[in-house]
Amino acid sequence: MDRSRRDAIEDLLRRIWVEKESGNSFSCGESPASGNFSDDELIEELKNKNLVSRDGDVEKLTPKGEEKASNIVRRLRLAERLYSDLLQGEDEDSSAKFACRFEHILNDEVTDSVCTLLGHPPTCPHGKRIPRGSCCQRSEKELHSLVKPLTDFAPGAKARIVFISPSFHNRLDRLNSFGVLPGAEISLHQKKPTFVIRLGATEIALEKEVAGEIFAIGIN
Amino acid sequence: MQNDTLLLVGNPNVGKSALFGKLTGKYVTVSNYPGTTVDISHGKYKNGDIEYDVIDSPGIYSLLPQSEDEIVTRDLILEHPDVKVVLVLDARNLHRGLVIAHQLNEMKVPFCIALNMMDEAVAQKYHIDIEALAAELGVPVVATVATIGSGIKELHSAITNSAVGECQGECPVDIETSAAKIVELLGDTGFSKHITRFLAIGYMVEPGSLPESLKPKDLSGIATVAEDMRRQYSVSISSTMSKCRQKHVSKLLNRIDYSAGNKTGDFAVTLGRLSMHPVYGGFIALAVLWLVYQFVGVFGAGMLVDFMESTLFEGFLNPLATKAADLIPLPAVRDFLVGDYGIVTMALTYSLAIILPVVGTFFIAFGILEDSGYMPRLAVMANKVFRKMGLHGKAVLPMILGLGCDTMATLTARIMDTKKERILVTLLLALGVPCSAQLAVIFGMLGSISALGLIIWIGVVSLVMFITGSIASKILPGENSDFILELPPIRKPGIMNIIAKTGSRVEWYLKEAVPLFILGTVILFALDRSGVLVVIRDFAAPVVQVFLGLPEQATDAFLVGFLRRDYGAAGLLDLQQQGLLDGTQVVVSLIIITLFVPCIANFFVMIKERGLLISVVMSIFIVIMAVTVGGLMNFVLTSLSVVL
Repeated sequence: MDRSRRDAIEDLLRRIWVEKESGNSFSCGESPASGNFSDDELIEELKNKNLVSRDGDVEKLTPKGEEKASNIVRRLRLAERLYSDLLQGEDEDSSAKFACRFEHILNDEVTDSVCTLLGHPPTCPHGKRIPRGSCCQRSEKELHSLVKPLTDFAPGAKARIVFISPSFHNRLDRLNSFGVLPGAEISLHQKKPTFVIRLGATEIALEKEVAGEIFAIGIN
Repeated sequence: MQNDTLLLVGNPNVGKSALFGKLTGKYVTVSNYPGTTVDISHGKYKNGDIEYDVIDSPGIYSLLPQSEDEIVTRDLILEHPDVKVVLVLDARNLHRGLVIAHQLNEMKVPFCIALNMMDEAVAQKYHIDIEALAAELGVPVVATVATIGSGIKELHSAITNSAVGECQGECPVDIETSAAKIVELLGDTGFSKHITRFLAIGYMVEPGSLPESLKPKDLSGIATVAEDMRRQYSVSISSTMSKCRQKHVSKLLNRIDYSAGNKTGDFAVTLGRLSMHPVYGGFIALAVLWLVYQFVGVFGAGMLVDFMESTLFEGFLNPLATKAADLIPLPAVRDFLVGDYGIVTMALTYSLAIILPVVGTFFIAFGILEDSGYMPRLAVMANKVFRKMGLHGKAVLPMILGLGCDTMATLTARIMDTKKERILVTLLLALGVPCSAQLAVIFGMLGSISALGLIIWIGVVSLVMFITGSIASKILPGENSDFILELPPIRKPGIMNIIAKTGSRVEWYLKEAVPLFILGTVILFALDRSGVLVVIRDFAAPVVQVFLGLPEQATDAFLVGFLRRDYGAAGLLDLQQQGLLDGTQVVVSLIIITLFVPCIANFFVMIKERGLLISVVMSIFIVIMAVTVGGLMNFVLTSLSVVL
């Protein structure tokens, strides 16, 4: 199968998955066709591969298709993170373009490495969920993560917050309201008896438990 | 004359209350501790032909409300369609404050900006281009230093020229689309379309934030839209929104070349850091406590009380009052005024001669600590200790204030983030934190027995607090909050600020607490006259004598202790001086009186703040706890034949 056709199929699978995520059902023809191939044609192929089944007049992912599609979404969103966190791309359009191209060349193993490198981020830069991979469950650390929780930094370190992975929603909101947001540059003042970080002119004290959920990358 | 509403809005601890004071000439407690404004203050201010009703609001981070305070502030905007807003910003912290400017723009509310604390920003070499900022935002911006009143004149004209800002942050398209759907479903809200859109976004962020009056009969429509959005934004919509806004603000600040100064080597900064150091911070805390003890315990409770009580009241005022009372032919009235439980001899002597000097000096010391910015750093040091009681570092403010006056401390329990924590603070204050007046007597009594007595007293009371706190935090329903606290800069306490603050607290004491002492004394007088006191004493005597191993007269002290905690302690002191208490009995009775129900003033404030039911349940628990622990200690100390 030629490359562009494979990409088109992957795009379609991803679109079906994303529609489902936003609570809509996917039916052919509603969204623009992928490249040179018509949706109908591609759907046929997905059905043959037992990735999609028809339920009434909607296309549904089979368990096998679901797995494949969520992997594709995972790759795409990780690629977006890679672009915005490490390469510090500002502009969201170019981040999406970069990610689109990049996702197709990532294989599973590289995807897990990227995920680990980024500290197993839970969401893409737009705030949507990144499907978890097997590396996240193991929460691998053998491959040295560049992005790590604040608790792993030494006092005096400067860091840029990459993402926050809170156990409670209102914890995130409280942090946000102080300006503790992805992209913010902070310096870690002390770790004992309580964590103190400095952000601009503000000093903020927070508990270890909270600090452990703020993931950042060291800067000089 | 026209009548408009002016609302002061801004992040916590940026000087809204100070500015309010300068505009209205009314003093509200100004504090260097985030979140101290819990009541909304109103005042008047005249600007040209317009008289404004000025409203001081609690500090907020966002108008997309996530906390009670934020809902309160947003609703103040909704309730006053003619409102003008003064957005008060900390000039050193524009990143955070300007988020609110964006939100005001979205709601199309006219406002102007006061860049406050400009003096500190200049001292720290901040680069702030005020004109460029005003041009970017399209609203008037003035620099102010609220504490000394500079920039207020310029603020007058800025208020007059308040405008709807131009710059606007965009939301992600799908959030915008969903907001539009919700707006449609809400129908006519009576608010402008901008405000309605803002409320719709607020609803997606936090469903509870939608004003009750706007809720459609059938919530399911808007709930589905919001639910869909929330499912997609697995982290949270508010986080996505804050990120968007923050990005806009950062870009704007980059355009005007806003930059922070360099402030290394600053003595105050170094001091602030040392005070949170795991080792030095502990020493500093001890040194501070020692200084406070010297000032309040030795100077206030010792020297001042001595002067007020022996010289002024007993040497002069009371004999005078007694002589004057002798002219009254009715003995009952005479007793009412100058008898054992007389208003002058008991209520006024105690409240003015004994408590006022202690509470007054305590308020001064507390004011200095508060204004200097030390309290939040003490919270950092004490966080772990309070965690063991089911609370966190923020509780340090009410708990330390409780060592001065539990009644006032109960009022400040509001700074805790959740209802459960407020209940817990109220309970622990009532149970185990002795107020300054009581402490003075307790230290006096323990001083005359061995040091072991003091250690046992502190140990048992702390242990009871830790156990009660940790169990109660597991049993009570509700949430615990995280310890996330902003640390204001360390600064030299302002003399005027401390005088004003102490003044308003003493005024509160004289107006609110003294009348309650008088009421307490009246109740006691009535109980004594009617013979009820004897009945209660007879009823409680077996418990006191057998279970607690104390003389019968101690019952009086405990009973009186409810009307004034320190009366109770003072009653025990009397017994000790008469030689009726041995060492063990001193320790047991002091443990009981410390743990025992709070004074009548505290009880009224508990009811006001936490409701009648909770207060009564707490009080019953406390009485049982105090008697049980006392009995247990009596048993342990007697069986081990500890000599104190």
